[in-house]
Amino acid sequence: MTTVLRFRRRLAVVLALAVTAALVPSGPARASHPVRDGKIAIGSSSDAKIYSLNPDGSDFRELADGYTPDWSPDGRRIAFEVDDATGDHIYTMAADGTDQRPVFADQPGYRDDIPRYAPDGRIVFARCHDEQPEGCALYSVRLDGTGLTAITEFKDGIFDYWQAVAPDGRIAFARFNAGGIQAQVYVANADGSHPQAITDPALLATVPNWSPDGARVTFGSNCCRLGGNVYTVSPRGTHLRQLTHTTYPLNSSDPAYSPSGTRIAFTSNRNHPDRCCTDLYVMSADGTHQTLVLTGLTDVGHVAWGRQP
Amino acid sequence: MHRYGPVPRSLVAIGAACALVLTVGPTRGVATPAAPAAHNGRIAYSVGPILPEPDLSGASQVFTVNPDGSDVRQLTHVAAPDQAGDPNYSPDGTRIAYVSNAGGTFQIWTMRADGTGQRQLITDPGHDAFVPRWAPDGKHLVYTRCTSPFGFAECTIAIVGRDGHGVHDITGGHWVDFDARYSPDGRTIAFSSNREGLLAAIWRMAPDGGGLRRLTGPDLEAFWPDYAPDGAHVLFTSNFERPISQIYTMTPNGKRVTQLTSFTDQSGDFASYSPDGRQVVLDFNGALAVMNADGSGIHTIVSPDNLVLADWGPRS
Repeated sequence: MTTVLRFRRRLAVVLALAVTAALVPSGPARASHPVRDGKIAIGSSSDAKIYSLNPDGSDFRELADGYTPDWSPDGRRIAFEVDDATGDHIYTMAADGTDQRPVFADQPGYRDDIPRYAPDGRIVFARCHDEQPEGCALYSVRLDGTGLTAITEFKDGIFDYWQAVAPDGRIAFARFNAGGIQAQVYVANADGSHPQAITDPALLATVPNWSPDGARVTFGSNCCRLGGNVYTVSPRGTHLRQLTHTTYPLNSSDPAYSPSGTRIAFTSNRNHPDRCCTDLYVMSADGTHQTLVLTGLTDVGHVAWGRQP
Repeated sequence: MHRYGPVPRSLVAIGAACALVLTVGPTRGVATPAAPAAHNGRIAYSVGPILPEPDLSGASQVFTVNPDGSDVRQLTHVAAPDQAGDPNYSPDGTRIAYVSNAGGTFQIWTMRADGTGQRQLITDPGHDAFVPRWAPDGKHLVYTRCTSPFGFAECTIAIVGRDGHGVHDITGGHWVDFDARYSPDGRTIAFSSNREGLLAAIWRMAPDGGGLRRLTGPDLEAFWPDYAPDGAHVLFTSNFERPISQIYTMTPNGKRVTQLTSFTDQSGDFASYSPDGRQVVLDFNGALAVMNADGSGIHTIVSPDNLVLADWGPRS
């Protein structure tokens, strides 16, 4: 709760400065600080842990047991998922791994996956049911666990998953098995209205992530198959660009824009013909300068890039 | 729980059933150069989940039975946990092709129609074979040839001579191409596939793999095609009404898609025509069932309470 208040206060200050800047035609407007790229958080499915590191690989730290980290908009906290014997639970923690707090307990029979911070301070997550009727739908909840709200409708056999929230609240997500299509990335309004598929079914697109200006969506192709790559596309499905060219049967996936929008972190097993290991990479947002970031891990996944607090 | 997507629904329908309508048979005025009408003989069938998905752990054997349900004979006796199944009669009805993993991996076997002379047709290390179907001339078979690189299933449509020689793929591209059949004139092969990112659709092509074309839309989730003996229709199973499967027909060009069954609480699937084209044999919620080609008059022949894959042989 404190975090929400603090965040809202910060937001109010930023808005006030922006308004002031707009009203005052000249002068050295310092409406907002330039966003600086901070640490990258990654998950490792093989040891079920979350780590953080600088984009150059330095200051590598183990943060927590869990999956699918996401940075708060101010770069101070991380939302993540903890899977234990009672189910999949959503937690938040400080950026250094301390102060771990559950957001709320799961509803019995469901699992809650992939927490993502929304600009209004809520957490957007995927709630899944594994028995018949099976599927996943997107929900949001306040950080104190109240105000559970459905964003997409639960339908038998349909899986809405891998959602990402734009700075303006729009939600990109992967929808599986709808209309006989294996996987497509959709974009919807913050309340889930007007969902539109933005990728060709043949791309088998999943794991979308927004550019900070909301003008592009990056995603990984060939979900659930071999030979996937990282692409970007406009939120309306136009101007598709392929950024990586990893060849079958190797993959590049899990793209995440940096907060400045100039870079994209992603994972790839391109250096491992036996597909033993998946590494972290960073590239420019146009796909150039693809650079391996050494982590010492063999199974990097679930990439999120935070801003400098 | 962090795969990149949920497990795509298998091509296999497990589901429920009931009955329906549409006339198969001479269409319009143009005479199809139909083969001499064959007479219906015995039905060969297997009992058990002998397909790559979702489960290969159950036992499966090949049987034959008269269409009235009498005189059930078990033709294979593979030792558990090995399986034998998915039989297909040669055009002259004297032989049956089927698949079995009694030799290690799933491969095509053949036997006489009485179950004698069982032998493994091909050895194809690193691959599994499923859904063997004879070409109309009886000289070779089309089948589904699967590998599992790094645990990801990939299947092609392949052809092999009846002597077991000349195995070659006629599709590629790292998809799951499945359950191929020749058209009665031998000029076309229909199959199902997850190509284009669809869960399942029916495609057709020339026997050399050329002219590849999708026939059904994404919504139908269509699989298990079978040509009518006169070539005028293609029968298939649809998972459109998940979890219930229904039987449909269409023309060989994918036109005039017609739902034959309206099952409400049971599923019908894996359907194929009788040699005279007037009836259809299918899996009806784990029973071997027969209905008229218009979908009416469904009745159970044998009730093993397991997945049934059947083929209706000619009277020889």
